[in-house]
Amino acid sequence: MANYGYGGGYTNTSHAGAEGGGFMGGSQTGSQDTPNGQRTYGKDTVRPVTIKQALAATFAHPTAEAKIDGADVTSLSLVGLITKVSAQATNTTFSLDDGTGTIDAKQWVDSDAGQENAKSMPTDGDYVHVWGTLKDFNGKRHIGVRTIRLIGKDFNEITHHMLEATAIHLQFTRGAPPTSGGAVEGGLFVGQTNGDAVTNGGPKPLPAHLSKEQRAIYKVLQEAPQGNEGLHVNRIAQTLGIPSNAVFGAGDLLLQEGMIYTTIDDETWAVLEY
Amino acid sequence: MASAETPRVTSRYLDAFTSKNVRIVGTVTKLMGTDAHIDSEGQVRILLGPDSHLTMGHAVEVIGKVNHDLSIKAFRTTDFGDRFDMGAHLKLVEASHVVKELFYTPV
Repeated sequence: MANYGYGGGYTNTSHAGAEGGGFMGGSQTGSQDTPNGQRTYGKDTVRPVTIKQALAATFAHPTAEAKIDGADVTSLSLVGLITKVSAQATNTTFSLDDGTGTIDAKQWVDSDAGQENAKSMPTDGDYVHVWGTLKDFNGKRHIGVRTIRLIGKDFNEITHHMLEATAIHLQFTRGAPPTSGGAVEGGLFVGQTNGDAVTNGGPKPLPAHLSKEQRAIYKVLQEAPQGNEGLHVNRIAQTLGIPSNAVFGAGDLLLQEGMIYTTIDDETWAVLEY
Repeated sequence: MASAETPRVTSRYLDAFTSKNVRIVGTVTKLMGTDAHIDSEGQVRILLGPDSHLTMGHAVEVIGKVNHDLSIKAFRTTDFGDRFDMGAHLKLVEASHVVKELFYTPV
């Protein structure tokens, strides 16, 4: 989780695969396919989410894994206030509310466990942190609980969880923040922690409002071997594997912001170095 | 499902959420029976139910409905203790209104 591995990619092409870092296991070049090619260990990360995200997750088919922001979610974690507990013979169902929605979390009863365990169960009005998998059963969502833990002393855990879910959502939808490059060796932004001036040399951090596509386009333009005339839109589209009109759409803003400029014609762009 | 959402607010946001259910965290500054005040970027009056137990000086999370006079009728309160980081929480409230898609459906 610490290494978002983004910053290194600007100047060193050997880092080209590092963008996206640890979360997007499916797209990593180093994904470890098992012989049947279906599962990758990289995907088995626990993703912190809000209940609203869990309710909005999509399932390609009933037995498929859930997708959030286009990424597979094998395991997730969420926090919530218990609003109802119903103990049944085979499972205990907790209704959780984190302010973004409500969802049931089902924990199977371990018949081997002693009775004293049942007594220490969280109850109505407790805040809990839950780890598990998202299930879709007859169109109703619930969490299959692997671990449930009481948040009893330090409620900052709730704040932290919600902010972490937000940060990761933003990583998926807008790309990694440029300033998180500190984890990369020889990081470009080291100066921010030790006080050295870093204004010379390293590329400027990109504005926060750029989309993932816009960052990718900028990066391609910056890294690709090119003459003064820059790169044609079709070449960019080819490199990134996205349609040309998507490149046009995303490039508009970069042009408007003066980050790139048109060269020999409207469809050939180069990075405006400044 | 939208009705189950309780957007996170502070005193600054109450105007925009009258007659809506919200959750608000603040430090208890006044406590008189079922009438309480909390500080959440400004004083907010909380009308408590009989089951609520607040402690002066502690952070408390109130889930309730915003009245027209911008007081809040509490449905549920959770004592967050005296070590709650209000600064971090305010950042969360701010983020939740920027990245709305994770937190609530605007109406």
